[in-house]
Amino acid sequence: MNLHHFKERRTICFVLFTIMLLIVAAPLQVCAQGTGSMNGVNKTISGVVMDDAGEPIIGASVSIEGTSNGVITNLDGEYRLENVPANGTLVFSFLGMRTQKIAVAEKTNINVRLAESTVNIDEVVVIGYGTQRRGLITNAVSSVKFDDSNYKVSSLSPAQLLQGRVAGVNMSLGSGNLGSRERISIRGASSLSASNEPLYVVDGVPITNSNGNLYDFGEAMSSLSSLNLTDIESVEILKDAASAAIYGSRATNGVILITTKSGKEGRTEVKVNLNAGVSHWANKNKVKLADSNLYLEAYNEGVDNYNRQYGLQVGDANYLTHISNPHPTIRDTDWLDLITQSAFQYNANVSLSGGTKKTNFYIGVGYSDQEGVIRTNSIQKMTLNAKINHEFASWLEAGANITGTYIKNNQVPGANSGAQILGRAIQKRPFDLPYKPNGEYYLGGTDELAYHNPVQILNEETKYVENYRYIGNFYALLKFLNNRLTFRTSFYPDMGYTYDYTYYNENSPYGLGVGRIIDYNRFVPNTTFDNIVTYQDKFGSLNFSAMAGHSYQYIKNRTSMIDANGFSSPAIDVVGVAAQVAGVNGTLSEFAMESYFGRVSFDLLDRYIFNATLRTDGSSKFARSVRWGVFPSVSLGWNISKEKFFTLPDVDLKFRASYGKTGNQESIGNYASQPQMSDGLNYGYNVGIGVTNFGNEELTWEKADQYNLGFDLSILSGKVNMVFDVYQKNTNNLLYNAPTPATTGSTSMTKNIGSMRNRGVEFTLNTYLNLGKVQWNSQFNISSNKNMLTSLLGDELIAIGSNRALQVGKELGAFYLYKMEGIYQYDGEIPIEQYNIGVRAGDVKWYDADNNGIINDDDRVVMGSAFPKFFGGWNNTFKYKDFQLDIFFNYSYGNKVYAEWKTESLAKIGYWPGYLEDYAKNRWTGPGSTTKYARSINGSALSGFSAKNSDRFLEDGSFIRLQMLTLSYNLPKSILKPLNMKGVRVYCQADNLFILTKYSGYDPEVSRSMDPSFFGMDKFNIPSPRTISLGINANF
Amino acid sequence: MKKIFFILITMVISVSCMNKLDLYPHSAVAPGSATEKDLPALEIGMYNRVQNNPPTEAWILNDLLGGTVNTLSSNPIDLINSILSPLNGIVSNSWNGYFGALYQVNNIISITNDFSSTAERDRVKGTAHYFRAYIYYCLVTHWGEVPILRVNTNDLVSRDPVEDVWAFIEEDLDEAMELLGTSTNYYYVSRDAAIALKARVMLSQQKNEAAATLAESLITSGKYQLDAFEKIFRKIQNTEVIFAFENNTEESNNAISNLFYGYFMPNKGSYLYRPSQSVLGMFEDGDLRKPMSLDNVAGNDVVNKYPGGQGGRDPVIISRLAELYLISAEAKGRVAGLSRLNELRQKRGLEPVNPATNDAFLNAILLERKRELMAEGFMYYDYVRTGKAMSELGITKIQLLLPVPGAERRSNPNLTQNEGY
Repeated sequence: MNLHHFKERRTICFVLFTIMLLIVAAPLQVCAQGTGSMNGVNKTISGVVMDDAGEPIIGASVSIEGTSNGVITNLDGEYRLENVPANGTLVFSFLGMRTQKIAVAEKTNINVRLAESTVNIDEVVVIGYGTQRRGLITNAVSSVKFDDSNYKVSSLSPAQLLQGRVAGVNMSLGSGNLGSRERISIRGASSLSASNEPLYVVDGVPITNSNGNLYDFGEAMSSLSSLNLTDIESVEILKDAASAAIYGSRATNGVILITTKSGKEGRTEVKVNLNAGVSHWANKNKVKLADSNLYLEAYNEGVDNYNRQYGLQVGDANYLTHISNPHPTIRDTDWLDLITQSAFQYNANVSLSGGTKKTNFYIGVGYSDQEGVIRTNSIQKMTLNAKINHEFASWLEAGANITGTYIKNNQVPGANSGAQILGRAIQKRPFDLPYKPNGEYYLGGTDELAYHNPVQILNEETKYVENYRYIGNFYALLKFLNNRLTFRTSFYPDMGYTYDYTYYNENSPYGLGVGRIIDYNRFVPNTTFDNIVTYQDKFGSLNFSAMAGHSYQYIKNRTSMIDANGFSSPAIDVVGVAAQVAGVNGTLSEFAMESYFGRVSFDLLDRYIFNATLRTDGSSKFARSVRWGVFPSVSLGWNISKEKFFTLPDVDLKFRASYGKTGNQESIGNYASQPQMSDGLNYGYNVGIGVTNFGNEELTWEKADQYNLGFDLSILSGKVNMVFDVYQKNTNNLLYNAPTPATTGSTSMTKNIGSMRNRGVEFTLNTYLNLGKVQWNSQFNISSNKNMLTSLLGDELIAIGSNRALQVGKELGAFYLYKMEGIYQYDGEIPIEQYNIGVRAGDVKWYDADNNGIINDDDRVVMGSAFPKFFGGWNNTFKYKDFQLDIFFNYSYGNKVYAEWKTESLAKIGYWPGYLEDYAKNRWTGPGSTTKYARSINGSALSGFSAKNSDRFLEDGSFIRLQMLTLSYNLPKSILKPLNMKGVRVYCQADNLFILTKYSGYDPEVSRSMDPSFFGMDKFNIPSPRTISLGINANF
Repeated sequence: MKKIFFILITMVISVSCMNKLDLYPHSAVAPGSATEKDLPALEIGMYNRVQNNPPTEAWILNDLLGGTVNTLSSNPIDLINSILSPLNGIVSNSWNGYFGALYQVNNIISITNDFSSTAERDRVKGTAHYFRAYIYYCLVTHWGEVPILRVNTNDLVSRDPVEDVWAFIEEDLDEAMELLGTSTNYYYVSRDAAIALKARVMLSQQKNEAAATLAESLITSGKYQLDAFEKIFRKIQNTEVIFAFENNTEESNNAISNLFYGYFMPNKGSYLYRPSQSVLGMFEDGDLRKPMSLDNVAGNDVVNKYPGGQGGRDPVIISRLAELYLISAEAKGRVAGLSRLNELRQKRGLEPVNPATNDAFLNAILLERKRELMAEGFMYYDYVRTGKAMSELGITKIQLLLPVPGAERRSNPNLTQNEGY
């Protein structure tokens, strides 16, 4: 595949593209060079470097082995290299290709074809505070390079690009709403606390990653969705502690290094990517609900059962009466249809790049406009990127990299909101209507509509979040002693500004009848100042390199909020003119960290490799005496295939072993160690103070020790590559906001409470094979991680939330639920304690652990985990002539999902809102009718007895998803040459074509909580949509 | 080369910024630094915590459990059954809220114990004792045995006998009565507030004579008169309220009104609780309390005592004179107490009654309490303390007490559970 031609993606707007074509049709200057002749011992060699499809490679490096003499291929893939000794060997290399060496001998013209390789031992891999050749990597670092074929055009955050691509990395989204927050888990959950996110470092900048939104709208927004994806060149994932420990105290959950594109020497390029697509909710009809007839039958049976149970007769005050369809002549409403839409999206990107020996530049511009599948959900995004560096003198290089992004997210209420849109649509009774005959809304919370009217919610609320982000990188690099000694000083400003606007107008249920605006601002300046010295040298066949550095990071978080109401009409929409200010708030919080770090690397004969790092961090979050944490690591590698005794041809084999220590402090508040008396506890309009934070001065670093063993194997000259790793990560001093007895004055306190172990294996298999005329490339990965809590304070089970537990020997946040044993068929079976509170035949028989007849807290059982037993992805690329087909699956096995959406009402037969069809149809109607479904009984409390948080609603969330299917066509050279274009690719991409799962909800891959302790909770989260897009990538 | 290397290393280290790691919060100070100067602010903070820490439902828990309200399409017993579970959020949040408030109160008692007596210190300390008594009254009437915490502690405490808790409450109220005088207005605690609460505490323990004496001392003091519901429940200056939390919108998360009103009304609300059938039919013709107690909007019945709706807040009354009339009447018994009952009825626009038996009198008192105090947090415990809960509400013996929250027992194994949960 012609990676080099179309290193980018994105396309749309074909009109725009045509215009661009016309403008640029004027010939670009092409510098072709003739081939010269040779004389003497040294001669001139020329030729063409091509990829395995025969397409010229631009910018491939051609050099004479053992010298610094080398050139780069031109636009036609041609090179010309002078002064080549006849006994020399030429080395041909290009990023993403397997390096080839060819002895010169008699030849004067050498044409080569480079084979594609993702595991290239000469490839340069970005590691913490530096780079390293893949061949010298001794720890678990995965690298993903993005190009047209593996780039998902509808993605908004870099995390989405990684889904299923890397062994050991599991990505999930909160929902299918645009910009929904993601959860990335690298080698399992390593911390107990909500923050289990890896550290993100963009071009050296450790960025902040707090929620993108401020006023809670039921779903967190990804702050990473504002990043510019099209400019990403590669993402490196530091998975083991030895690679991550250089980031010390924030590395326990792994580190994700994002590297953006730069201009390349000798390659002036203009790339235009356009695409347009449409998304829709593919399996909208999967959840079947009772129609009017079935609903009424079941409901009224519940009424009868209730009256009978309490011996109520007509005329009694509490006697309940039957209901009937209030609109018998109107068809049942399709509520989902009222809230969903076919969603269009357009994305456009242009990049300009180039460079000389001394200067490189890159300019990127991007624009996206996407709609969500829920009406009114949309995103507009703009990104700008400029990068330049210049060598001012042989000893001085300096550069700057500036990224500015803007994203506006028009949010809809998420799963944690009282007006959560999907739930409020589905839970309607089948005959409920959105509008009264007079055109007014039916209102929620009345006898006409139990829950909010979702049409009213969407129409009468305006909610958007704007994120502006500036990430800068300014550096100067001083070089001494032939580049062996360098000093780099860098300043990284990362400025995030968020404006969050919520307007419940006077017609909204939350509008207080007069309109209410919540106007929220946040500014988060994050500055980092790094100074790094590196030194490298060679002593015979021993290569040595060392790095030492200092870093200071300071993050400030300033917010202000005004909550006001009273607006004369919905058209008046700024907070300043409100009649009444109901609340104001302003906060300022600071965090600082200072670090010293270093690394030494040795390699002997490229065979024996040793790397060691040390970092020490001082954090303002901890009290002085425990402030500093030390994080060492060491790793070893053995390139056994370079040993003399290793005679297998075309095989590369390297063993790796590593150990490291990392930390975590993200999960605790900036001032968690300090007891505080806060202002703002006002009464009677007077200022009051009181204790708001109990503080824990004993708080200290959560630390993890991680061991990793692995090998990299490449056979058949790189046609088959394998990477295998096993690891164990022990986290100690887990930080947790642990429950405390309320009698202490607080129900929780941040403590170091225990330890946890993650153990796993990862396997990646990449193959590059020819099937006749078809080139087949495949990347397969599978990983398994077993998480277990190994100790807790007191070793007692800690119940958390309403249905999860922390227990030694179990997974973090294992489900903690009642267990169903069947259905009571006769009243006589029911313990008197249950009978007395209204339980009757037809209700669920729960497991009674202590056998006391009472079903209470002590009868819950720890069962199942939201974490998969194994998961991964499989990408297949088929190339035939100029066509390419990419098929990408991701899968997960053994993860449980809790179908929380059923418990609120849909599974409570007899309660007011709508019913699930199977629960209503199969309901218990008499002895022997069913052992699975409960009877109908009026009201939430009685029907709720059978709908307790239990294994009834815990489901297998295993799945295989066809994540992406892309068919593309590269226009042939014969057409492009006269137009002076380097390449044009047209493609069609389909996301999420199907999902195979036993889960009864829409999508097992969503969760309303991103906290690993509460992961796997589906509460009517919007499922991932299916998107079909068409696009074009043009390269001038 | 070595020289350059060391120069560079020195450069790296010289940018050290260790002292920049000492960062302190901008809206808070360290406790332990409180001085007498801070007393007024600590006092205000205590009002705020006691007003806001118990969840909204805690203030009307006796109504949710007392049959005066129910939820959509069900009856009061269904609501009672669903609340009375160790895992129920209302139960656990109420428990947590009372102890959270108690922490602030005990903190202030500890601080004021270190200061010598001044008018200000006595007022603050007296207020704290009043609040502690109020919190323990709420605790003991719901959970029975509860741990008595004179000072804040991180220990895993055990429950103390009910009699000891009552004694502790009386002790606190006596202390409060000794320290407190009058207050600037009825949104602040006064000596009278402590007397009113003590009357209720005595009645609860069937110390009727003391209850009647305390109640009469306020009724006859001349400082308070029964007043119109149109003033009492619309935040208009009145002569009846003895102590209420002002519960200003900007300072409060105690939104009782949101639970009672609906989106079909101008002031909005989530309409979780609506008046039960028995409440809808309880007012006699001409009862002046009815319009301010109940309303019907577009066919929906609503409780009308807290007009703030979704966005606003209304004062939460702790003691008002009508309750003392009812306490006095009940404590004195049928013969001596009937006059106070009829005085109240007359003020509310009703004819006098004359129950023939003591039990009929008690029933008349309870009905009058329901009419007068509906949605103000009384009924459940009124039925419990008079032994009528099981017959009136259809509950079991077990349900005369609330369950200790399951989460609390998990983090403190020393706490026993109430029988039957």
